[in-house]
Amino acid sequence: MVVLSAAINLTLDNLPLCIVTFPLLATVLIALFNRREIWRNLVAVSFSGIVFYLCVQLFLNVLEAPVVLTWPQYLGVGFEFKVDLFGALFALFASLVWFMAALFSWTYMSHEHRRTRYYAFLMLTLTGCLGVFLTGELFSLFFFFEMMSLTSYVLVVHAETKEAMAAGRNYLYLSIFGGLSLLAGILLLQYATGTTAITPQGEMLAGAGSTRFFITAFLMIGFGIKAGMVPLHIWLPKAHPVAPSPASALLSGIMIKTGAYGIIRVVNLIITPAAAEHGHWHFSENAGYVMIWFAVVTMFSAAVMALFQSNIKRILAYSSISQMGYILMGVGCAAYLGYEGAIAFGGFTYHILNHAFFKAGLFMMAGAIYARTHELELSRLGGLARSAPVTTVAFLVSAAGIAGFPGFNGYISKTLLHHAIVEAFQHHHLFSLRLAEIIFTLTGALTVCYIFKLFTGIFTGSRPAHLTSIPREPFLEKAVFGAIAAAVLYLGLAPQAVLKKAIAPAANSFTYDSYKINYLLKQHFLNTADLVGVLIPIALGLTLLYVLKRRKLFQKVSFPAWLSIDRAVYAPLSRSSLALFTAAGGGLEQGIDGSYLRIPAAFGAVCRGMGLFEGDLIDRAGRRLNKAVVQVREKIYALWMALINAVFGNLALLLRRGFKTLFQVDYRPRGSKLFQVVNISNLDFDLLLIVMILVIILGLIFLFGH
Amino acid sequence: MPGFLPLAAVLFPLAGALIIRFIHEEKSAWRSSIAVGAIILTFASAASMLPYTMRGEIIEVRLIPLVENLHIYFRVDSLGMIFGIVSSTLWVFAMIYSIGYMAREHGQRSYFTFFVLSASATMGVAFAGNLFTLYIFYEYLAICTYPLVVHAQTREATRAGIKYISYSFGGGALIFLSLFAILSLAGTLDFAPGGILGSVDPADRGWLVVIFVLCIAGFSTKAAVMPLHSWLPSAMVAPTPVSALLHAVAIVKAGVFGITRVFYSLYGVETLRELNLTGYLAVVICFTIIAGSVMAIKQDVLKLRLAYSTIGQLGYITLGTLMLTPFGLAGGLLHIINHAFLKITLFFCAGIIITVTGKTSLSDLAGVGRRLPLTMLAFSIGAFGLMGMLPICGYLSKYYLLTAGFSAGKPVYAYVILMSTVLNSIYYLPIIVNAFFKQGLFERPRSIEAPLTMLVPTVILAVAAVALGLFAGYTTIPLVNAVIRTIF
Repeated sequence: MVVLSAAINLTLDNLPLCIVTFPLLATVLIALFNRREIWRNLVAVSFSGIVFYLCVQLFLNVLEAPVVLTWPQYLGVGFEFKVDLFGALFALFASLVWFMAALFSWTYMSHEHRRTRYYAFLMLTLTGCLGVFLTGELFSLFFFFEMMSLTSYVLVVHAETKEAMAAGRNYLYLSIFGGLSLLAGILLLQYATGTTAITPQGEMLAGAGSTRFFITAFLMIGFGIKAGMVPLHIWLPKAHPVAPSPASALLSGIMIKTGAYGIIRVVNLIITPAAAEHGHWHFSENAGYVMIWFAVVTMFSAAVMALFQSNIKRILAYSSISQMGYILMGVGCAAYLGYEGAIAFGGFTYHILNHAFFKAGLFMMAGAIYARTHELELSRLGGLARSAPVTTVAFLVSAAGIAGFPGFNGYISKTLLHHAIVEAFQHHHLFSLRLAEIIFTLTGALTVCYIFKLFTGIFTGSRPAHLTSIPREPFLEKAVFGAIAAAVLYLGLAPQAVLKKAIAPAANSFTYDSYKINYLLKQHFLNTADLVGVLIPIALGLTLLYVLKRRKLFQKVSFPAWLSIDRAVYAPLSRSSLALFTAAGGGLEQGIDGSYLRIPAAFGAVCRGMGLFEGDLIDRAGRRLNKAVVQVREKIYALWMALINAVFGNLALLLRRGFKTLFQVDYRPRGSKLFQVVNISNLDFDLLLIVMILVIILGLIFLFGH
Repeated sequence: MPGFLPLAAVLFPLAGALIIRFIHEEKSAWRSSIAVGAIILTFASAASMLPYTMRGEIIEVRLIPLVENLHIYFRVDSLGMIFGIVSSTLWVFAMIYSIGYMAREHGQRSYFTFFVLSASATMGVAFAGNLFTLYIFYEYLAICTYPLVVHAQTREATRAGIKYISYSFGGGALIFLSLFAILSLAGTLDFAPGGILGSVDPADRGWLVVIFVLCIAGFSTKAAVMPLHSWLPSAMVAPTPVSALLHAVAIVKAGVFGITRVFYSLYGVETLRELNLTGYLAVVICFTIIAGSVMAIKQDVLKLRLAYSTIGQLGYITLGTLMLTPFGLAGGLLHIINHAFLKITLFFCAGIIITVTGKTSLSDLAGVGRRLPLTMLAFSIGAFGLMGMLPICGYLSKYYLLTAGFSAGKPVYAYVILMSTVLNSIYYLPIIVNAFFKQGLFERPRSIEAPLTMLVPTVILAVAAVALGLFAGYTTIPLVNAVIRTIF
């Protein structure tokens, strides 16, 4: 007992840490209860219930003062939980919707395969998702954000069909790209301002020059991918429909909100200055203006796309993108209005809450219908109202919510957002914002149109022949759908309470004029102007639906494939850049490798050439030369031998003749004295004589020559 | 006494290799135990020097003056210690893994001889105290790994061997040239923390550029910098433990280590900053990182994909060291350690896949996670670590490198690393996804999924990779800090 109360106290002291670790614990337990269906499901449901309870507790604590928990040196980077009311609010509704989805999974997943894996990753994703909301520092946020991206991949590809794998691949790569863009932004921010804390840093950023554009752009891309902002939305219409319905509900209801949450933290907090009077508001104002236009394009184009889809979950996925456009437009208006953006803040926060409930609900209801009919195509469904009454009513309530019918939750947030865009227009009287307001109203009409197309398509009309026996609704489903409808109605009927208890205090984390916050609290929503502002799109939308249905235009209109930004831009871009790099790398490799390895080959060629030269040319020349030389030599030799022969053969004769002549010279004097003196016997005397004469001459020259 | 330790680290494997050479081909138990014993002794001698290094003491031993100024000289400083301790630790695992992997292969005697012998060469490279010793052991490493590359004795292996040896000796020749240039300029080849080329006569500055180009080109062949990398993918014909240890840890890291030595022990930070040459190298390295990663995407053979990934990852290390900042160097050195642990895990997994299933192509491996759950889990840890996911150790070096890039005012480097991380995920994630989420022909294992001598080192290394990430503050970071303290 003591241990238990100590454990509870410890939990309550470290609430943020426990909120992120409990689902991890649940994952371990789920893995252990691999084969025991009931225990495993019970663990998933009860742990998400406990986490929801802890989030409520945390929210109540944070109402008094922000909760901070830090581990400065952990993981070499430092780790921090810092929960303000805005984050706690997100954690609160996220854990509630998660709890509902876990409950719904119990019935829905009973026909699916690999349930243990599904539950384990459902819990892991919960950790990542809540962690994002509970940190006060961007590095820690990044950690949880990436964790959520990677673990939710497993939920997306759960079916393991070809379509699911393709969607998952798309989702994974875009998530990773987004994550790294985020990291680049975070690191740049750290070097521009020296901190990554989620606090107003506008003054410090003003000194960073053009770097702040890069910071904002990187962070916006990173979060924008998750938030499904056009043109970064391409993964969303593929990934959300293929996941199991409870997972789709969480993807659309909660996980894209982490992207919106990040954008809000960046655009409305980090890049804004901390004080009202400071002259650094214009940067965030400009960012807000850009944001408004991205958002307006997002909401309108996605609504058009949603209108012409025929798959229930795909309609809902496009609708999610469109609704994110509403939220981001609020974010943009809040940033554009700067210090006076409290109304816009109230609008987008309220819409985030609303969307979490009605979109998660709609996805789960679509899932319930799919589980019973195995159909998601609108053309093959119809007339289900009688066999699924609770689902029908809950669906109608959610649809009224998303369409913004007075009395339902969408009415409140859309009214606030409408106020925000009008205020933004009145801020500087830019005509472009007037245009944005008109598009906002038109998108409202399109929303009404597609959501009632969905409703009428599923529940009214005649039931197709192949849908004969429809199983009854399980109790758990009725409970979950009832809870969702109740939430939608509560948010629609008691706006004052929500604004006062949650949203206005949450605005204190941001830099807003207190007068404007009070103005937000004084909204009572039931005046003629607001009602007209909402009734116009409803009337327009219903008329449009009637016309389109009458003319059967839904079947006729289909978008050409080349219009898809995925086909038109991303796919060719990625394919061509990949091809370019591969070709460059491959070419380089071949080239370098070839040339490097060709050096020995070249040497070999030279050597072979030398061999050819040596063995052939030189040889032949040498041989010929040799032959010639031999011939010449032989000729010379023959000549020589002939000479020798001639000489020596006749030598005796010659000698004899020579001597005879000599002696004749000597001994046959012919009366000359000279011949008698110069004869062979006194030759040495003659030489002596000559030498002496030479000596005398040289001696005389030597003595007297100078 | 401590002077004996670096010698011991070099001589134990040498002696082990000699003994193994004379053990009969059939007596595999003897051979394995001597090989593992020799490697453990090597590891022990390297590890026993660690306390000295951490205390900032430097163990020196100078022997055999071949000529005046040309000594065989060992000097164990913190930089060498990182390389020495990482490779000797991983050598123990690779040795044990080899026993399982090689069980049915031919020519075990020569394999084990040279595998142990190359440990000696690697230790020599790590603990070399001057460029001459480094050069000798560097060439020694090339020679004694050649028989391992051509082990299969097929035509392909022979060609790869020729390619490998010609690249290696080509690089070695360039280092040999620069060796004499440095000797004549600085009068010594001994490594010093502040560099030895800083005091060179300004008139001879031109030579410093020449030496830089020669040295970097020489070491880049082993570090697989992009124009000189193609031996590495070809050398993947070697048995997997060889690819794992030598082509992810020892040889390629010897090249990177050589580059680091040239930067920080020969030139010194100041001199390099004045010379202002690293920017040119950075362009090449950035290209290597991106192109290596892209080339990896189109590979279908698992080992080739890992090889190209190695080329990219080695680029990170070089990029970190050439930033010439404490953060950059720390990132590079941490990545030497982290990449070694992660990549060897990946290669070990590839080896298990090859031994158990006989498949080498990724397209045949759909659903292999069913047959080899633990192996593919270890593979996922390695792959996620290289992608930089917390808390596996790869994130830390990436974080340091990114920080270095941004804080050095060169965000381009950081963008290159981020870009390459995207590419990393593009070539690693499909492997994991295919293994776990695709239906294939594989069945659940009946008993243990792979031989224990292979599975146990793999799993231990995967766990170690996580532990190194979680407890980096107690393990790798102090070691790296010891280097940073001496240099900056």
